[in-house]
Amino acid sequence: MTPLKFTGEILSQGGAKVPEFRDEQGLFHPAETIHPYIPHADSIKAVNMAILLQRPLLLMGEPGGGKTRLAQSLAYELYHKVNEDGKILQHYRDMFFEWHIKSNAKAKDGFYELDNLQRFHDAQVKSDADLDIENYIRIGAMGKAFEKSVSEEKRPVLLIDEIDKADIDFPNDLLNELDRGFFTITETGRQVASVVKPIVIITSNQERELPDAFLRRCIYHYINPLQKGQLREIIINRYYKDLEPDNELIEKALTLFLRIREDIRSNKTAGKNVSTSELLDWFEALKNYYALLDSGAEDEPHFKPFVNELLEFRDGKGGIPLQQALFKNWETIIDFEKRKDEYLDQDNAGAAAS
Amino acid sequence: MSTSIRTMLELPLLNFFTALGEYDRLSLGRQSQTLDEYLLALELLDQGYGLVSKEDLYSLCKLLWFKPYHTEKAFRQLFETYLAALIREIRARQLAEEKEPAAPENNKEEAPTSDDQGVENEVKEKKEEETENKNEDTDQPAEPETPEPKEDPNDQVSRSMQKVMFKYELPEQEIALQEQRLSYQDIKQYIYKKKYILRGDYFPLKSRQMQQSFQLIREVVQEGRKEMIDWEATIQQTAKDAGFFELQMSASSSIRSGLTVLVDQEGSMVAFEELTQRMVEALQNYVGKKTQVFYFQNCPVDYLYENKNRTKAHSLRQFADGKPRTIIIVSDGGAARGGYNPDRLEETVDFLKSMSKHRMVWLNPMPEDRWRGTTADYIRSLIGMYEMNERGFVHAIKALKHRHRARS
Repeated sequence: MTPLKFTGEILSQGGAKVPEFRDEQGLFHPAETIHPYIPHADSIKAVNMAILLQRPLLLMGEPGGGKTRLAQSLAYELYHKVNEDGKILQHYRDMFFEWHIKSNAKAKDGFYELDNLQRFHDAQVKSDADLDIENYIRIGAMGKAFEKSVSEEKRPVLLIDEIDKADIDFPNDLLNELDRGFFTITETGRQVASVVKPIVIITSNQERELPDAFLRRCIYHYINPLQKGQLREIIINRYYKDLEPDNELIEKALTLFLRIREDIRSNKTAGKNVSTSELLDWFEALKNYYALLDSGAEDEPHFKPFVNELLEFRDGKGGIPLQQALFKNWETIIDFEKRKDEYLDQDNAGAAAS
Repeated sequence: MSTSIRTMLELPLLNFFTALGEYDRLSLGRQSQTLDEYLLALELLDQGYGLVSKEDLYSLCKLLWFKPYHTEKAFRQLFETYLAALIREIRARQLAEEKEPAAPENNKEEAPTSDDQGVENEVKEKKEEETENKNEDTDQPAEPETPEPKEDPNDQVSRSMQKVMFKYELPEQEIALQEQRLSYQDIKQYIYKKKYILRGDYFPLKSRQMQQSFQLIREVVQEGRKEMIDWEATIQQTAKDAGFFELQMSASSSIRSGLTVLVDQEGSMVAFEELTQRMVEALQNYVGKKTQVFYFQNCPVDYLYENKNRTKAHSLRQFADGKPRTIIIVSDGGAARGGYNPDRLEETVDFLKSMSKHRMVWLNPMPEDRWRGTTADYIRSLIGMYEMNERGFVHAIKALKHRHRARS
């Protein structure tokens, strides 16, 4: 019996294309492209600790910092099995359950729902309907994860996403069931139980404080923003899979990005901080428009407005090109517009020094 | 595996754990630790986690005990305080042992797999405690048939270990303090030597406590469109109508506190500004941004102000005649300055009278024994006034919950 272990290696080399999938309940998951994901060593450690201790792992960090991706890549690494011919032996969605919390979520939603309305409809319309309550119980994400969790090697990954969105009592309502690994369907008395507790990953954006009793039972891990080396690796793995990376562009973009991130963090500028996911969007835009620069498409109407700032950026003249992809609120844009000259000066100073 | 280091770490870890709990309780106002978490750490040490290096141990502790409300700095500081010395000592001893050629070499020869060697090499590079671990490793299974020369270094190890353990069981100074009566001077010196964390937020009331108390006055309200089927009501209605079926709908419920806070500003309240600010923040973070806060100075007369600078005014009469509210007034009621001020009392009486339809309590940041003889003492007879500490706060919230009207 080998206990599960997360290495984070499988998705760090490159992304994967996963075909569509229909699970046992008939729920359809469309085909998806999984981008490369490079977890921090601490994150890997935290995940393994949570697996070992059978405790929920509570992940916090900047929005767009890769909390949800960590859960996905864990499930993918553990359970996506493909043979040599590319035939899928096991789809990771089969062992990966997502429960996205809404502001009005109740703990019970994740366990099961009783479809009263359908039952009522059947009772009125269908004369031969089997009205056994059991037929109208829809097991929720947590219930499915419990049912699937049959042995040490087969512990599904249950992602409870953005738990802070729900009411303050919500985490406490979950505690008992998470702790014991089973719950009872009150209407029928049936127990939904797991043999081994599933791997539970909970994410929170810190919009609301979580109760102490809940925190006590979790392994807590804060995902720190990635550093330059890792960001570069991600960019290269994602956008230059089989291509020669444009090192100059990457270097320039990363330097600027890190500076912006530092500025926002140290409160020189207002607004939401830029995160890895925004960097990737921004870089993709930069890369695509960069390619257009050389192709002589300057007069294309959709490209024209950006030509100047891109040329400036290429010549190292400061300013932040394609801000639309990077900043999400007005204050930040205005702020950086005001401080444009500052960036210009320091860039020149930096260039002179180097 | 590596029982010795684990044993050595046991007590310092407990000290660290206790200190962390103390820190939570005193400066964060939380108490969520249980011994389980400490035992869990030991369990993991048993399985060989956290023994590679100091950082490894730190990250183990952090994973288990670090919570979102901690700051990394404080956590690290506590860790260093309680464990750094021990780790340094273990390391120093290992270095000394490495210099003695005999023992480690013997071990290497006996090491059965290349895997173990790899581990040892890695550890040596890090110059951390693992060599020790290795010694013990080979020691335990080999004990029945140990060749005689090997026993000596092991004995040494265990003896020095005992020494360390003893040292950490009770710091010498503390034993001294416990066992003999020391002069005032000695105790003072001892206290000065001890490390304290001085922070600017030792308030009589922690924001966490406020949040927990606020939880009591939440009300579940049903609002919005009626989109949920109320099965209970449907069944009742059907039974009443002799089987004639009609669905009963209800609105989904949400939570609202509907609190309004009136904060006295400036003058004698300057001293409590940080505290009141925290209260307002706790309220807004926890109960919701909709919580209304108004400011005034000394006593609300004619106007309440939306902002601290008192530029956005609200008519007090409109406020008083508006929908009934649940109100917390935060003011010293003249107790901070002391003395009896008839004008202020009169103003306050008028204000309280005009507010008779609202539920109100008064929180006073001054300690209760300082109210006597001041204006606050008189105001107290008109409205439930509570000291702004943990107990007072809880009582105030409970009073709000139960009382439907403030006396006027």
